[in-house]
Amino acid sequence: MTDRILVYDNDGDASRKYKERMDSVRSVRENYQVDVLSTKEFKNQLDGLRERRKRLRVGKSVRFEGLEIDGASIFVVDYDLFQALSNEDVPTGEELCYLARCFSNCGLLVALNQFCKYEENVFDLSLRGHPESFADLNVGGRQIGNPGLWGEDSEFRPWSWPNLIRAQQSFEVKTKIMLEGLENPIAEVLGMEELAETMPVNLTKFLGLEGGKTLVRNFVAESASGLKGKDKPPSDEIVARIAASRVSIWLEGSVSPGQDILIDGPHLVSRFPSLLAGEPEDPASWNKTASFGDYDEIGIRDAKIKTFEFLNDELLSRPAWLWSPLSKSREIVEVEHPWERRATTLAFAEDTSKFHPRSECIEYEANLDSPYDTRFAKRVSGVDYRPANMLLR
Amino acid sequence: MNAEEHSAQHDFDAMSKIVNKLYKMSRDYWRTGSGRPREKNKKALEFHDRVQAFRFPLTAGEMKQLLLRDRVNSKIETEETKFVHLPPLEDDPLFIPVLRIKADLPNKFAEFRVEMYTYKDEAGMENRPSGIGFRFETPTLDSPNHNFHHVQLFDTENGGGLGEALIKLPSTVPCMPLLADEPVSLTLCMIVSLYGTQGLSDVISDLNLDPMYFAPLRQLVT
Repeated sequence: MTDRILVYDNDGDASRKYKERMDSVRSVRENYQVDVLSTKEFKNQLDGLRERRKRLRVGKSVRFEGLEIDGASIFVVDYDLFQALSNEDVPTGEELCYLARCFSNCGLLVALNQFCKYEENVFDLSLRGHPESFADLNVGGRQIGNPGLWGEDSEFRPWSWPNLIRAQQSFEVKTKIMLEGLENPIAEVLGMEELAETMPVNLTKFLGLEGGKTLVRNFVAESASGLKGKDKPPSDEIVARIAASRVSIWLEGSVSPGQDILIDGPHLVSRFPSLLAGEPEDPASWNKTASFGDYDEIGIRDAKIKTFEFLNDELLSRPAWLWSPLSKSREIVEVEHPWERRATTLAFAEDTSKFHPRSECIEYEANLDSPYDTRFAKRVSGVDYRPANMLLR
Repeated sequence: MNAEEHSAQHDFDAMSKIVNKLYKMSRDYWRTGSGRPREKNKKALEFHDRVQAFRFPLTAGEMKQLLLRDRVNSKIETEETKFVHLPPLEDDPLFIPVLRIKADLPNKFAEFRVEMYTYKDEAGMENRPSGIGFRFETPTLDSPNHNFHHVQLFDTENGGGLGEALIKLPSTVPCMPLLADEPVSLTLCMIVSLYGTQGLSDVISDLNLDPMYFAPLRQLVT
């Protein structure tokens, strides 16, 4: 059975436009059936989700099936649902994502236009994610049809985006990991116990009062990042789905961008070019490191640094290594003899997910709590770079 | 821009990158409140808090100013009362390092004054900092004896008037030669001296510096 993407915007024309955009991408057509929810169907989903929430609050049992959203592999929803229903309290797309995540079996949640205006094509130079959002991904409505988002090539393709198809497919694996670790500390489930001990509180507070020691179940039930207000934990399966989503959002949106705790392929070879497996003169060797394959598929000499791999890599959208111990490894030429390092003529652009000649990129400081905040952007035509003053020299 | 000016600008940009990176690494480590890494060495953090009281750290805005103010002349100079706080010394974290810089790249001149402060456990001395200073300098041109890149000791002005030097220090000898041939390689020598090769690797890993600056240090290969 083909996986299903559900789309909803109270503006029917916009909904259809989003569907057309997704259908125009080959890999979407090959993997998914994209269906637009009518406002009547939307109301059914909303009523159903609210009813489940209500029943759980009064201790009644709930079956997480029967709504269309339960069977959706990906749910794409616009942020602004104002006047979707007359005379009714209509949630924002973000609120709907919360309901869908906590009270359904839905797969990935993609919110449109929450952090940009309608039809803008924004690149967020700050590189700060949106861990407060219950959407697994926030993009602009124009960006939902960007082939780069779905694993194909595209000129504009922010590195912070996952490969949405892989992310959707791995969501069930993430859920299984969380389900098995429900009664364990999150840091243990992630294989980051030592690391979590030294992370600043403003990073680990997302996980709860006890940081990485917070049990997965308590993270969902009691932390400010899980269920809101007086909402009651649903089934173990749904609790695991919430944890899988929220922890991934934290890893991708808060931990990874700084590249000082976890480091991914392109940033790693930028710092230590000797780890590049391919021909250094060939840009394709460098670009291979910015792919979403397994550790041994992305053109990095992994044998030297295998012990520093992030253990539960299913929880991340791309391979990553633990920066702190790796940066001290004497197996790496640039660590053992830093004066032997060579300058590189290429820079990794965060907005294209590719390496380009340095002269074609602009160097800027992202808004990150990390010493490694110097980044590059290619500046693709037709993209709004925000905040624009970050590019002023 | 003639070749000399171009070279000075190139050196200035390289030195700015290095100093800025040291600043960011330091800020990342020493930051206060919930942004501070939960480091096991609480005593070092406590010492740093106390050193801040008399060796005022540059703020982020001041750091930007420092590197922009005289860019056109390729000069960097910290104010008398402001210091670049450096990352902790992994091998001796209870000495808190701070830095003052004076660099005039067109004239191939640089002076890095590193002060390191600690607190003694002796009764009555707990609140008085003890310091030692190291000057990393380009050749002293008017000295026939010290006309090479070197590092010398200096007294830390009694810990900013609040404490005392570890001992009375000789300020001209020993004048230890360094593997440097211009101000940027001198900067790298200072980093290797304080943080070792791993520390240097960490600082420069994302700076993409011109390899020519490493040439003198290559003689360290064992």
